[in-house]
Amino acid sequence: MKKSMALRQAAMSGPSLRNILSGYKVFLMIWPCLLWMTTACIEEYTPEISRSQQLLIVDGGITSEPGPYTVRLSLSKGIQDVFTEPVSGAVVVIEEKNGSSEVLSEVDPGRYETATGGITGKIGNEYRISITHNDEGYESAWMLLKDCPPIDSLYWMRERHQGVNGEIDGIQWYIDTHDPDNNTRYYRWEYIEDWAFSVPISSSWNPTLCYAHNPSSGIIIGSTEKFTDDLLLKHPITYVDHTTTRLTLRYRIIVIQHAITEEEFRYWEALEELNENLGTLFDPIPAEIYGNIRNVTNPDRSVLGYFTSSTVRTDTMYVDAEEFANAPIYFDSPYGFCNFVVIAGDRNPAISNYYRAGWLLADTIRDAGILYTTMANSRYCFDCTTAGNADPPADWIPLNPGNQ
Amino acid sequence: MKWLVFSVIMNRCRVINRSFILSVLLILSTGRGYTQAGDMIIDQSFHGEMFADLVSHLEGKTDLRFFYDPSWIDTLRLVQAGGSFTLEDLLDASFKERDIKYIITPQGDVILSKGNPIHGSVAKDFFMIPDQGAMASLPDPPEILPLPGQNNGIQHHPDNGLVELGDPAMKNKPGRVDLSGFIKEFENGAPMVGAIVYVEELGLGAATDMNGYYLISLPRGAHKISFQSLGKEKIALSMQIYSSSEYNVDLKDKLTELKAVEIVADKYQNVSGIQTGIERMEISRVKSLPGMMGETDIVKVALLLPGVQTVGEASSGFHVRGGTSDQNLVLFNHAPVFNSSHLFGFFSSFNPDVIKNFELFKSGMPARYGGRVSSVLDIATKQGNMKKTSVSAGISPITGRILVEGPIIKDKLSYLIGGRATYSDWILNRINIPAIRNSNAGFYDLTGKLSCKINNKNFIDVSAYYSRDNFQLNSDTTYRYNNESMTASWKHYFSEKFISEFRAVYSGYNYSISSQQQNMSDFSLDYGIKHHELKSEFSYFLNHRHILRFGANGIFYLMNPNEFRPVGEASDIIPLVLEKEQAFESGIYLSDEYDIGPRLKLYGGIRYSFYQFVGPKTVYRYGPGTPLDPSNINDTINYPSGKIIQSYHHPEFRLSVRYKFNPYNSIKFSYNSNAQYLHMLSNSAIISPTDRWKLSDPHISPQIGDQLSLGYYRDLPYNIETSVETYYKRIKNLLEYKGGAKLINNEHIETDIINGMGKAYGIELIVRKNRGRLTGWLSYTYSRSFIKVDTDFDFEDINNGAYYPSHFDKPHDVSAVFNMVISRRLNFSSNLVYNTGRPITYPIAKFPFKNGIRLHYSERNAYRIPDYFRWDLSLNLEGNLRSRKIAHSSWTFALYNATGRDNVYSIFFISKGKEIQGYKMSIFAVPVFTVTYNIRF
Repeated sequence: MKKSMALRQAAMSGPSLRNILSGYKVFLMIWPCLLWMTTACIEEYTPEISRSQQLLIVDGGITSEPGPYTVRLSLSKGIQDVFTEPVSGAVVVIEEKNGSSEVLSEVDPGRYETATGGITGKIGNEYRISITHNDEGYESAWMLLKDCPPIDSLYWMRERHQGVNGEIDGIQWYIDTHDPDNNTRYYRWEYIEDWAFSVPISSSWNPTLCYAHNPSSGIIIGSTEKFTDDLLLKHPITYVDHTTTRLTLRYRIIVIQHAITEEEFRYWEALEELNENLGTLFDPIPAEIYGNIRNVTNPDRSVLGYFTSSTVRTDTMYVDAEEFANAPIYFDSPYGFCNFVVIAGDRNPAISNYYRAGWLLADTIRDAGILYTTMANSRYCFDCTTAGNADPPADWIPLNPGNQ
Repeated sequence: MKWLVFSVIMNRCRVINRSFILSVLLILSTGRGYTQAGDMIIDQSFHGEMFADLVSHLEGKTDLRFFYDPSWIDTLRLVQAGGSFTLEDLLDASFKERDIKYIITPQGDVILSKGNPIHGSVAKDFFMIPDQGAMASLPDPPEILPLPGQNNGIQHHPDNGLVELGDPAMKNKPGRVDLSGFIKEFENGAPMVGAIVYVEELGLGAATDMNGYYLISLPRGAHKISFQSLGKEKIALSMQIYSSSEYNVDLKDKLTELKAVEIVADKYQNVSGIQTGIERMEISRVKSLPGMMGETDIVKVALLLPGVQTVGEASSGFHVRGGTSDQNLVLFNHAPVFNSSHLFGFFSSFNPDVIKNFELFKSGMPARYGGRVSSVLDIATKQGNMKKTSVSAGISPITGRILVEGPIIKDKLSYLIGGRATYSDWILNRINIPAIRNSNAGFYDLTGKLSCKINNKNFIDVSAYYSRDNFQLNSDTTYRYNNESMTASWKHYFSEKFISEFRAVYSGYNYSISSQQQNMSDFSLDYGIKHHELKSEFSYFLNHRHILRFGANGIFYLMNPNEFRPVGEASDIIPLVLEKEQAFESGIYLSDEYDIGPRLKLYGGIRYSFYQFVGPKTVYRYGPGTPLDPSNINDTINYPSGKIIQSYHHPEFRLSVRYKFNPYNSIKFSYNSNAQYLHMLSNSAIISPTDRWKLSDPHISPQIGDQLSLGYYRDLPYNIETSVETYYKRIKNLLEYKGGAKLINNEHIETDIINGMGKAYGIELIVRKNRGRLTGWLSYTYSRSFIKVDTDFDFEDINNGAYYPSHFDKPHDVSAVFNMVISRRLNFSSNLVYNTGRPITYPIAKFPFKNGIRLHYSERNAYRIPDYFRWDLSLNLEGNLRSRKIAHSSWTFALYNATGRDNVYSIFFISKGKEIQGYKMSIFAVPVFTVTYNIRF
């Protein structure tokens, strides 16, 4: 897992137009490792980093969808700290150029929201955020709210990818999109995954069918600046592999497409380079990158984050396990470690032995007067709410309304 | 007959140990009969027996003792016609074919000599075996050997007799005379570069130039003069010089050469040479050291020298005294090499077989070099063998090599062709990962040279070099780059005092990256730079105190900065072809090497360099007082062809002073300033395959470097040299990059560049032993290197405008390099390297942003990776040493990183969604064993 993660990521990224060197880097990393069969070329390592900086983080934006819009303010911590610290009591204003502005209200510590029915982004207008906190003022650049073309198609292809511990099986999601006016050029995507899954051991008092939810966290951007046409074909979104429960029953992906400005694109590009660095010395030297927000009172102090403005377009697609009936995916199930025993008899001392060994009571069934007790080695194996929700997510369309 | 033996001949001698044959000095004075033992009747048949059997037979039965080097006789069988013979008859018959001379002393010592006859005759009444150390104890020659006048190109000199040169009529004139001539290799007629002509009693020396030419000015009269070079028999002569004369010398290989390799910078150079910060090494030394993956690599060996560093193991580029890697002028056959690495920097792009030696100037560069700020690495290739054709080849786990050389016209015109290629595809195809199996990586390089000696006054050589790399990952994106160069040189001797060299040089570097997946993003990206140069250099030996050198050069650069194009029908790429750039760089220089007295020597030089960036070109102008940013462009100017857009010029001073307290102690000082008009654009820690060179233009100013260096040099007994050098260096206009800088497909590259200021200082201590069975060096360097980026606009500053350590700031650096000759066939080497870990930038904050945790980097190079340590070993095994064999072969067994230390190459962080994970990466975490086989015909 240690090295495979990094290498898989490396192998997947492949040479692309944006990062012309990536192929070289992958080779540099893998080649000597394999040639000399070293046990581990890449290992997890946590150096002692004593210094840290407390800087204001701004995470928020405006879209053309009706609000409320959320802006989160917090203070950064060192990379070995667990949480960041919310910033309360700031005055946060979203402003439209030559138009209205709205002061956001703090709904949770550090979380500020516009009012329902308040300011709404309009395509072609420019917006900015200004923040006042502890007598320091912050201000973003004016951000143009660009129109966004719809996703032409969202689709997947069965692909095998390369991990260091062998090939992995799964599906790769792609999108096609284009702007007939050639205006969009810079794109960013997010996705939200939801999937149904079940646990291997049944338990009469626990749900066995649950729904997991995962919003994307990686940086997925694309541009057509190098192309004549504003057209992207087969742009990769994410790879879903056989090591999770995602494809075991029913899976849904919602892809959100943002049209962004060139400046924002450059920011994401630099952020991606810094955060998804592969460790070779060919990588650019890590350097400070600047978002669109400045500390007006104290221009020397950096501000992290970005005030984004974009139109969003989404597309949704479901995948069911049945679709792989002809070419089954062999899951490397996360439940592989699950174990259970069924013990017959009311006061069978084996039950307490298993209890003492840390096993848990998963189920009891009385059949023909005999009590059958199911003991399992982990709650995770019989209670699906440990990994998901018993209720389906909003707008979930069950495969078979009768069943799910 | 009386024998004087000055040094003991050890070990009554089946084997005359090499170091002892050298320290033997025999003087044979007037003779009585010397042949009593020779008259001994041999009544046993030895015909066809090995000579060694005769020796053991006679030494067992009689008082005779034999002295010889076993290599002379190891295949020698005795020749005896039959019946009874005297010992002399037997030896005469047996040695006839072998050019072995002998003498039998009254004490019953039978002394053999190969090549040099031993004069036992009354007429030639003394002989000596030349010696390195015993010169001082040499008594004055008892008698003058008559010799026919001037030897004007004639190659014979007496075997260690007295040589009379010049017109005896001028004998009593006052003043000085010049002795000049050529020193060549006896075996193949190649000029001996850097051979030393040395007059010990005057402490005077001169080194030969690239054609083997030397000139030394001496008081008229008698001198003991030695001609010496590494691995060669030294020739020591008593010379009576009446007037200025020429004297040519051929140096022979040391017969007992045990493959002990020596650093050529001769004994007298450490203390007496004027230069500070010079490293000079013969390829034989480089080859004797363990190489990475079995490859001999001069750049990797240079890294073992004090003051030379690299960012990471197996990385391209090197750093000299805190300079960046583009500040090194790498010359291969006088042509600059723009990318000196193969396969991502794992190897350097120079085939060791064609190299003769290299010189590295870390400070005190002579005025004839210009164009780079930090150092000059001047690599000289061999001249083809003028006497006979020979072929050598070698195979290592990575490459195969072949070298063919020989005369076209004997002693006049020779050729040399060397090639090297990797077969790493073969290895890649065996790796069971499709992405790698479908990849291929290859490189090769070719070197050729034609050398022509028209006459003693004119030499011409033409050399060419081509190296190419290609790499393809998983059959889609292909990376290719190549270096190409060609040099034509003409060296002309107007007189023995006035020498000129004219040179035409072309050098080019190109790379091309292309993607061909039959889709809309298929592209090709090309870059190229061409260097065309004409150069002249003149040396004028004004008198014995002054050597003037002057010359001029002019370079025309033509650069194709960026050519991005669609490939194929499907591609929808918009071409982005940036305008070609062109510039002239020229320089004139004058220097004087001034011998103020026996103790004080001065080198003063000035070089004036000029640079013009010329049209056609479109140049952006930015609003005054604003940062260079595309949004601040306020004007666009189109310059027509040939129009000077921007010019720069700079005086560069080169000064060196040496003060010698005595022959064993000296101090030296040097100052040099250099201007650099060509820059490497690279925002990664090491040179990456997409990095390119950039010409200075209206927005990018030339880099200016100044360096002061002071050193103390001392020679100790047992051929041990020591030195301590300190330096301080300052570099203006270093290039640094803004965060997220784009160096390719960028129409206004200046907007991503910021100017920095560099400073570096350090102290280098070295102890070396260049001769004997055990050679090597031990060095310790303490050095620092810093950069400061403090611009007019605070937000562009790095680390708030304070100095921060450069990527190659490694304060402590220790190298221990040893080579031990175990026997004549076996030779053992060891390298030990320790240095402080390089600086690294760690993220100092993390921040949640749009569902992910992102990293924030600041405080450039505030941390360091763990220290680096490596120990390499190698064993070189020669095939048997018979001289008559068709082919000579050798095996090299090398162990790289013998302790298997897991040296950290880099530390990096990956943000995996909600969490941040740090990783460390190492390249060679286990010992790597390699075997190399070499063969020579």
